[in-house]
Amino acid sequence: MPVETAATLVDELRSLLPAANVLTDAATIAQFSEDVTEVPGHAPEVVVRVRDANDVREVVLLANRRRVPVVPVVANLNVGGLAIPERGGIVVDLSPMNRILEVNEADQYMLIEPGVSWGDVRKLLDEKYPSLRFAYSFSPPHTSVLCNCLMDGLVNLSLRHGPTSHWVNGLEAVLPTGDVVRTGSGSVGKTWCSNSPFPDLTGLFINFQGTTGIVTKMAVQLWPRYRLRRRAFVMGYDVDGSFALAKRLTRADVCDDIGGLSWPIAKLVFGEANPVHRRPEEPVFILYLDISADDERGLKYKLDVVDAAIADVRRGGAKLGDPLDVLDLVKVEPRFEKFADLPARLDFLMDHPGGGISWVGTYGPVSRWEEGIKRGMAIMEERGWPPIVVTRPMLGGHFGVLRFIELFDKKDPESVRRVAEVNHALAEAVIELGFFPYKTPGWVLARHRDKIDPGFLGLLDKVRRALDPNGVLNPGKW
Amino acid sequence: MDVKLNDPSRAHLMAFFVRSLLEKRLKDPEIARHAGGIAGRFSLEGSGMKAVLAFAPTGIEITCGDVPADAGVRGELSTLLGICLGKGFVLPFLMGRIGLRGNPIRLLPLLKVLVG
Repeated sequence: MPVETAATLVDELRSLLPAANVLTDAATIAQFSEDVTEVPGHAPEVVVRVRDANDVREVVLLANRRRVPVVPVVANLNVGGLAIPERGGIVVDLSPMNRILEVNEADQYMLIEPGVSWGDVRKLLDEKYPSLRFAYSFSPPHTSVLCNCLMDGLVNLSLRHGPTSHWVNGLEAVLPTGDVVRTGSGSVGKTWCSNSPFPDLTGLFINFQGTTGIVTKMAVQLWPRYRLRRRAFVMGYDVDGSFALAKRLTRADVCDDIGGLSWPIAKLVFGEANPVHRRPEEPVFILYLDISADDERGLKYKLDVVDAAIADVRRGGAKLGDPLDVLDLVKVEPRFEKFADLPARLDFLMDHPGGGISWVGTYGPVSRWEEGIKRGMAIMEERGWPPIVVTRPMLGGHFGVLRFIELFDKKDPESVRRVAEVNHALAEAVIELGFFPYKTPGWVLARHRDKIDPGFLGLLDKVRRALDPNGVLNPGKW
Repeated sequence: MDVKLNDPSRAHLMAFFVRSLLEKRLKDPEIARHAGGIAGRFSLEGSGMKAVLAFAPTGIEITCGDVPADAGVRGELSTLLGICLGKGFVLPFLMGRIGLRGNPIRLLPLLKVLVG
């Protein structure tokens, strides 16, 4: 953007918002120019900190008049380059909008603003609503709940209830035209208890990556909190046996959450920076199982079901360990506490030298999990990467997560090149099997657009143009 | 008293657990003094992962793999973890959930170091 135009834009923004909320200093611009991934950064002209939907509306109207891109951001920690302002313009920092506006204990939902974090929700529910629980992702505690819900995120109740987008009862959004809309039951009454029985206009904002509107409020479902909870780890010594157990337990319907972590993750927890060697006698996957119940009898029943499933899968020839209670592991190695109670900051992923983290994180058919895992691990090992894999059955096992993670040095061009190369290879391999990246990065769309139904892409484009005729909202995404 | 894990880049998971356990336990000066008086090599095998602990007055070295040892114990990782956390070893022994190798008397001094 020409310097004069940018200066005029900043002046106009300062006439709409408090001057202190319109930022052009080098540190702020740099902060919002890139994320943790290998996706190339790009600087915005200006960053505005908004206080409410009216601020958002004023900014969007101005951007529309001037045809300037607008990129909504909260923590800027998505692992896909989705909040990088690749065409410059205005970054709208929604983090000051951080109020939990309502917790409805009877109807089991909360109404939140975009800046509300996992940590905020956990603290409030623990302190004031002990009968309710939310669920948590492996994201750091300061990141946005609302963004996770908008981006089909996965949490530790997603086995039971699906990705967090399924939990949205309705929302308020500022459209690119400046209109403010409400969806779900919040559109007709005082309660935000349900997205049904209304036409699903909420869906116009889910997974659109901020290209159809800026969501300023969201009603999200909460769940009953049971009194007793156990988290156990089961070591699996081959992929097939590990996932036979994961599938078996998924259908047994006794776990709140089941996840699979490949062997390098445990070594990262122990401080091994680059675990690329696995001894043949070591486990390949570590399954974690979350189980809760309201009384001892219920808990015992569920634990018995787990034991029976392990015994049954062992009879089929798989080598599986006995369940290890995570609290016992914590007594030996306190760093395992991160896995005991979410939300937690996974410092072994976030704080390594080099600071870069990237992934190919996909949803797809559990029927092809094992094949995808084996192919992906081989691709990573061939290229010298620790085969870091995270999996989770979703929505009762109707689909599953398959995610390959790389830690790299963002400042080293060769490291960045290697990440891009392995990600392309991984995406190629798993898309062929029917998996597709969630929080879909632009590079995936650029390379794999030809695999998407043209009718789908055409409709998507029509919807977006209808809502954002000038293409100002987060251009270049989906 | 130092705890050293030999070649950690090629070590197995149980060796990392053992290192963490020893580092924690040896923070107690009495346990460290006791450990300093132990001599010999002892194997621990959990779920097929074998590590040998070589005791010397200055420290303990952990080596993965099939290294000769004076005595040893093997079992499921969960069973060994339970014993180390003070859940008792008699019952697992009587139930055949742990097996001993070599002279079991030589293993007794280890209990104070590993079990707590």
